[in-house]
Formats: sequence, C-alpha cells, structure tokens
Amino acid sequence: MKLLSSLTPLLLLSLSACSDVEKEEDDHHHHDHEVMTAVVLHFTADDGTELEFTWSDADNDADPVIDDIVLQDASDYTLSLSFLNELEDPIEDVTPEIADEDDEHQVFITGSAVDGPATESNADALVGHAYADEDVNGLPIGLDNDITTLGTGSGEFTVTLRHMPLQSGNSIKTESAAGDVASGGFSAIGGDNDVQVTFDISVE
Amino acid sequence: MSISYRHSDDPSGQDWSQSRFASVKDADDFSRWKTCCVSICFSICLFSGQPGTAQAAPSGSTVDASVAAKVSPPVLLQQVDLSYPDAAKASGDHGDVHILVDVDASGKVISARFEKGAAVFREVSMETASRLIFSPATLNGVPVAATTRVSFHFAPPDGSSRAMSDTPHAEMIVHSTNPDLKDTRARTTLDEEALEKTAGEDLANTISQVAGVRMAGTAADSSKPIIRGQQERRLLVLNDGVRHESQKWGPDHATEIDPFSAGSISVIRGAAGARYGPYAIGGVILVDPPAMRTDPGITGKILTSYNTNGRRPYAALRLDAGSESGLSTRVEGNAAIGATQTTPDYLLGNTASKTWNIGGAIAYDWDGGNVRASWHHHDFKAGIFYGLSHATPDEFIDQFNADRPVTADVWESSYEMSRPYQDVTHDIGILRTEMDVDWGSIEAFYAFQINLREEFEHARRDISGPQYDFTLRTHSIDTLYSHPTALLGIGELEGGAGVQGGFQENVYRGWSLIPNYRSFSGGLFVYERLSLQRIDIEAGARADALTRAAYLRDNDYDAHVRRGTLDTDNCEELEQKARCPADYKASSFSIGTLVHVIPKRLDLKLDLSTATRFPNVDELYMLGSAPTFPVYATGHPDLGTETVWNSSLTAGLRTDLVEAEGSVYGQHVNDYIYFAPELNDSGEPRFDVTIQGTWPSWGFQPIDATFYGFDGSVNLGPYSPVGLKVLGGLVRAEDRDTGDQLIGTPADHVKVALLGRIPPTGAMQKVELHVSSEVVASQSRVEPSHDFAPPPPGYTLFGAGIDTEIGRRQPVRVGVDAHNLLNTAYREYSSLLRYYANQPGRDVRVRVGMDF
Repeated sequence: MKLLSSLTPLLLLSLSACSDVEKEEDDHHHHDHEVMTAVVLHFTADDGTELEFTWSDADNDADPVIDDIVLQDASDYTLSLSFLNELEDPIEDVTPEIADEDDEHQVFITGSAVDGPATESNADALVGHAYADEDVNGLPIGLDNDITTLGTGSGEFTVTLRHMPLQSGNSIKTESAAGDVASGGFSAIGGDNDVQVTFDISVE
Repeated sequence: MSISYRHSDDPSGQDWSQSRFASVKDADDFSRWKTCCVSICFSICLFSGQPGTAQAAPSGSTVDASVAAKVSPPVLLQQVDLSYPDAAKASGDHGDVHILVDVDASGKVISARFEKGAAVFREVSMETASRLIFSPATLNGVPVAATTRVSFHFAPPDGSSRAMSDTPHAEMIVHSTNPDLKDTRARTTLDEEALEKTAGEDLANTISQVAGVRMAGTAADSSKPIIRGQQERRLLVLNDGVRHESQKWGPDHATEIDPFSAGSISVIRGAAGARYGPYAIGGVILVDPPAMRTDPGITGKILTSYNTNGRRPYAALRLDAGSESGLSTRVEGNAAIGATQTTPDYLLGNTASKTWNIGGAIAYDWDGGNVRASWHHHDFKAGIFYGLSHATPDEFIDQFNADRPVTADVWESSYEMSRPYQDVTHDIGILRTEMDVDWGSIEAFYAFQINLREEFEHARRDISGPQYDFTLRTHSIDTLYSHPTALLGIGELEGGAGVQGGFQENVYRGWSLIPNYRSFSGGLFVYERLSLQRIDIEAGARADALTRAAYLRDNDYDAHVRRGTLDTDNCEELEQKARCPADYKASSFSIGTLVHVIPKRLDLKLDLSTATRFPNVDELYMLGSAPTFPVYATGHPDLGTETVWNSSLTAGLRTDLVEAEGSVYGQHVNDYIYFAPELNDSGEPRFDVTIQGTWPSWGFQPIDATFYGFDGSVNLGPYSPVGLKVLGGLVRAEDRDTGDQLIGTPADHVKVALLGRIPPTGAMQKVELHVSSEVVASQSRVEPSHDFAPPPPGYTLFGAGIDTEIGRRQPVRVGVDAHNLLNTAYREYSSLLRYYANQPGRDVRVRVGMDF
C-alpha cells in the first residue's frame, strides 16, 4: 500500500491542476516572447513635415491592417522605423531592444518602388534608399534611413528585419549583406526574418 | 516458429501435436510480455507399484530435426511426489489430468489451471503442479515466460498399471504461440537481441528495421514512425499496455519512449481499432518491458555504444533483483549526448542533442497473481536545424536549389545547442495487478502520464524562457478480463472483454498554438478467438466515446470565426475566451482468420476491420507555427471523426531454407483528416500574410482517401552459413475524389542484406557479418503544385557490419555497423529536412553489451 500512498500525491497534484485549463491563459505578459505585431514608418521631410504609416496585425493572427505610403515627389526624407508589440498593455516598443543587439539585426528595404543597397539597379524606382546608422562594428542597421523620392507613380515598399544570430559563436552579419540580398534574395544571407512586411507606396 | 520434441518410442500413442494445443494462452494479451509462449506436454507417471510416489519422466526426447533451434522449452528439473487421492481409492479410477502451468522466466511456476480430467484428481494435481520446478524456456538464449501443459496419469496402487512405469515415457510437443504467428494481422516482434542492435536510437529508428515502417523526422535524433503511410497520429503506441500520450503534432516530436526499457517491441501494421481503440487505425506499436526477475539474486544488462556522426556516446544499465518472498525490483537508466550531425559536405548546424531516461519497477508475485508499480522518466533536448525556417515561396525555392544551406560553413561541431531548440520530458507511472480467479484472469492498471514540451525560438539575448510551453496530463484506467480457455468439441475458445477510461488535459503557457482542453474518454471491447484444427477465427467489437471541451483564447476564437472555420453556435463565449465542447462516438469491428495451410510451414491470414478515430485538438484548433512546425497551420473546428475500412491478406512461410512474410492491404478512409497546403477557389495555394512574411497556408481538411500497398520480407537461409534478407514495401495513397496522390506518403523502398555466419571458434561464440544496400525510389507521384518543392531523387545507400559474441559463460556482445558507408549525399522524402539540406552522411557505430 506504500505504492498507493506514494501515487496519491501525484493524483492529487494532477487533479488540482485541472483549474489551469479554464484559467486566464492570455499569458503573454508572463512569458518571454519576442513578439512584434506592428511596423511604424516615421518619415520626416526636409521641411519638417512628419508622416507615419503603419503595418499592424494587432492580434497576431495573420489579419493585418496596412496603410498606403504616400510621399511627395522630389523630396528628401529621413525614415526611422519602430517595431511594436501591441499585445502588451501598454503597447511595448521593441525597437530599443533591436538597437541593443544591432550586431545581429539589419533592416533591408526592397520592392518594386525602391532603389538602394539591397536592390539591384532599378530605373523605375520611385524612392532611393540609403542607410543612416551604424552598428558597433560599423555595419548598417537600418533603423534610421534616408529616403529620396525619384519620380511619381506607385509600387511596393518592403521592409525586412533580419535577425542574424551568432552561429557557433560566430557573427553571420556581414558587410556584404545588403548586396547579397540585392543579387541573391534573402536566401543568400543567414538568419531569419523577424519582420517582412510590404506596403503599397505612391509618390505624388 | 514451432518445435516438436517427440520421444522415439512413445508408448502412450497419444498425439499431442495437433494445433489445438497451439494456443494455450493468448500471448497477445494487452500487456503481458511474452515474446514467445511455448506449450509443452509432459507425462508424469504414477508408479503404481509404489503407492504415493510419482516421478517426473525425464525428457529423453529427440528434437524434430526440421525445426529451428532458437526456441527451447521449459525443462522439468525436479521430480515431485504425486499421491493417489484417498477419495479415489474406493473406485480405483485410472485417469489422465491435464494442467496448464505458467512458468516465468526464472523457471518458477506462477500459476496453474486445471484443464481436463476427473474431478477427484483435481486438488492433488493442482497442488503438485504448483510445486514443479523448471529451467525456463528460452528464446535465442534469453529466458522467457512460457506456458506448459503438464499431464499426470493416475492409477490405483494395485499394480495394474505396472507396465507403464517400466519405461519412463515422455512426450513433449512444443508449439510456439509466437504472437506474430498468432495475430491475424501482419505483425513483427523485435526481441531483445534485435533491439540491442539499435541500442541508443529512438523508437522510430528502432522499428524502421520492420518491413512497411519508415521514418519521418529531421535530424538531432528526433524521428517519428510511419507505418503503411500512416503518420504517428494514426498509430497507437502502447507502452507497457498504456497508450502513450504526448504532443504529436510536430514533424520532429519524437515518440517519447525509451527503447532500452523494452524487452520486446511489436509492430502491427494496419488497423487494430477493435482491440486497441480509436487511435489504432494505422497500426500499433507495442512496447513491452522484459519480465521481472522472480527468483533470488541480481541480474543486469549493460550496453554502451558510440556513433561517429555526431560523436555520440551512449550508455545504459539495467539491474533486476528478485527474492524468495516474491518481491522483485528493477532500476534502469541510460543517457546519450550527440554533437552536431554532419552531411557528406557540411555540418547540419544546431543538431546537437541530449537524451536521458531513468526508470524503475517493483513487483510482488503471489500464487495466482501479481502487482507491479513502475515509473519512467524520459528527458530529451535537441537543437532544431538552423536552416529550418520560414520563407516566402521564391526565397524558399532559391534556398532549395542552393548547393548547401547559407552560412553552413560558419558552424562548428559542438555538443552545445542554441535557439531554436526543443526541451521535452515525459513521465509515466503505472500501477497494475494481474489475478487468476476461478472464472478466468483479470488484469487492471492505472497509469498517469505527464508530458512537458517547451520550444525555444530565436529571441533576444535577454530572453531565457521558452516561447511554446505545453503540459499534457493523462490519467487512464484499464481493466481486462480473459475467460478460461473453453474446450469445445470442435476446438478451443478463448477471449475476454475490457473497459478503459481516461482523462486528459492540456495547459499551455506562452503561445496558444494548441489550446487548453479537457477530455474524458471511455471504451468497451470484447473479443473471442476460436481455434480449430487448421483454422483460427478471431472477432472483436469495440465502442468508444469522447467528450472534450477546448478553451480558446479570444483572439484565436475570433480568428477562427473570421476565417469561417468555426460555427459560433458550437461555442460559449466567456471572458477573454470561448469554451467549445464536442462529443464523439466510435465503433470498431474486426474479424480475422488464420489458416494453417501447411501446419507449421505456411499460414494465411485475412483480416477485415473497421475503426473510427476522433479528431485531435491540433487538427481542430491549431493556428500558427512553431520552431518544429515551419508552416502556418490552420485547424478546422468542425472536423468530425474519420472512419477506416481495412483489409489485409498476409502469408507467412517458414522452412529451414526460407522464412518469408508478405502482406497486401487496402484501406478506405472516409473523412480522412488530410494535412496539406490549402488551395483557394481556383485551385492555387493559399497564403497567409504575417508580420514575418507571406507563408503558404496549410490546413486540415477532410477527404475520402484510399491507401493500398504491399510490404514483406524474405529471409533466405536463416540458419545457413550464408543468408540473404530482403525487406521492402510500397504504399499508394490517393484522394478518391480527385485521384491526386497524397503528399507525405513514403517512397517505395527495398533493403537487401547479405549475411555470413561463421561457426563458433574458441571464445568467439558467434560471428555474423553483413553487407546491405537500401534502395529508395523517388516519390514522384504527388501533384507538383501541392508541394513546396519537387520531390528528391531516389537514392541507394550501402551499409556493412559485424556482430560477435565473445566468451562462454557471460558472453560480451560486440557489434560494429556502418550506415551510409559510401557517404552518399541524399535527401529523404519523408524527412522535413529534404527542403533544406541533405540527410546525415556516413555513421559508424560501435556497441558493446553484456548480461550479468
């Protein structure tokens, strides 16, 4: 009967745990996640005009709401990116944490409307892109960028945040990353997409 | 396999060799471990001139030369006195009495059943039989439990039977009740010797040596079995009689079972739902522990191995102790640690793994019953190949076409794991009892299982916890009753009935990929088997019911409603969640026939059955992806049960020169829950737009499917100096409405091995060499638009190895096996790795094992 008595606590333990099934399980607050649900593009024109466009899948269930980007032709903008976790209350800005690990992250701007380091030469581009920041190793991050409009029309503007974690302790973020994406696509560089969202853009 | 021992000058003229004695006890019982039961007939003669004494006849028997020598029966060691009962003296009755005696692996009689004879002799016969001492039956030299028929002849002490005592006569007829031969389905049992050859491998690897079994998986020691094209969710794994419960939804969630804890593993191919319940519609894997030691003393087993690919050492130890009191105990454990695996050309980054298992059992045997408590803990942690990632369709094809995964050269071989990785534990505790009662035998057990699964995604450095975290708890109670074998005029009838009940709940923390749920299930079954001279017929029926409530997080509930997959009438909205209850019922029937076309040589088995499976929670509600699951999957909450109609015809041939088994089968599965890319209205793949990119959408859809195929094996010259083994299988699976072949069906395969056996010399008790070749075709039948990438080409692998036994008293078994000897680069269709990288390259494995 010793056996029975030793099993009893197990039984009780498991029965008492029943309540877990019905309990509040919206448990993101208590668990470690790297969740992003929204990308915010913050454009500032030379004249100080500020524009904000958002890609948001607030419930993280593959049902996004996407703003159309509208810029003025023949203008220079700075573009800063924010990545948000809207599942938190209040909404969490994840951008500083990306900046803290800037040697493992890089943003790439691609799409039919873009001409920049991560695209092949694009005569039909509506905007030109250049990196405006550097990580601890002097490589671009892409949280701050320069955008120049090159002509009117509409096209696609894709923002990719690539996480390139150490492999066997070795860095896989390389100087040629943007160029590799331009020539070989994202399968040509290491790591995974933390974010890859596409906006429709028009330049007026 | 069967053996016949026959005394050369049998004076009794009795012929015990008929098959009606073949099925003394159903060794296929839910949990009793019997690799092989043998029934023996002894005659013990009363010396009529010496009233009150009896002697067991020595077994001066000759072995039927035509039969293999792997099985040896129990041998009576000690003579006993047999008294002529006083009550019979008045009448002076003569008579034969038959007693069935269960002899355990230590040779001790654990139970006796009165089978036939005059009632007046019953008491003394039973008492005498329980005092008999045997040396145990052995299978391949390993002691096993067996059932023996003992016959006593009573004669009054007046000398009239004097003649019989002059020549001690004995006849032993041994009929194997090898469960593989007795089962009306295609069944293969791997005994301890076969299991040792794959020691340290996971369950799927272990059973992939059976025809008709393939593996699915990735790398890092995590693979899943596929039987006749059916994946794990349609396979029932019975671990020591208990249904193994775990999170089965991921393609590299290996079955959390330690093959070292098994004394035998049996694979039943095809539906067995009438006996085993709703989840056994594709096949059953029976993992049974070795028998406990019941005689005083300590025995043990030690095993160690090393794999070159992944630099993986493994060590295992089992200790068994028995005592006079009937108390026996076992402790066992093993551990392995593997480094990064490697293909012929590059490392498979982040495929290190760590596994350890520990377990124990304590049992008490008494006259007519036993009770046993056991517990096993399984611990598995494995990196997930770094290249296994989401990608847009174009990027996916780009990486698929690349020579090697990007940044493969950055990796260094290491025992360390980095994100993503999985960390899994599984605990099972069982309390069971078996009892013989006047009206049969009863077996009852309670089991508790807890499966913890954590998956760790890429995350920022300051994050240490898992992103996916599931706790699955299961309680189950099983009660089985077997009635005594009834001797009818035409044959023997054996059978029984059982009741099962279960409770299960799943609790997640982290992401709600699989929602919380709670379920109660119950099942009821009966089976009967009629054994005639040349034909056995077994029929079974079973009813099951399940009631389950899932608790969906409000976001997931809303997402299902928005997708139109969930009918809101079926759920109750609560605060921040919805409760979605569902009830299911299923009935299963089977009828199997075993015909001894040529007794002991050629059998034919025909099995017809129907069975129904309940949908799993992941099939109903899954929404999202996980590191071990790199597609965006959508469950369909309105899925119902799937029903299989199964037929299989199996032929088995056993002669000195050839042992062969072949099985053809066909299955209709109505409302088969098919996991495949979802198509839009125009038949094009559908995509889901997530913040991480645009992914192909996979879903669970009901289709009407047909599976058919063939599998089998041929063993030429099983006992000759040179032998040849061939095994293989093919499966076809199609959607009956569209005619499309189903994705994920394993490719046709055949494996050929040439064996050389060198006679024992000196200390070398056994030397067996083999060279083998495995040919796997390309799975090119699936419609290309239904898959992400074209199927890999077929491949041929070569292997070689040697098995030896050194030493006489306690032989040390040493083996070397080389897999993928030529270091061929290839991709395997049933592996998720095929989209990303080659399979691991050459692996040489050295193992040493001994019993003590």
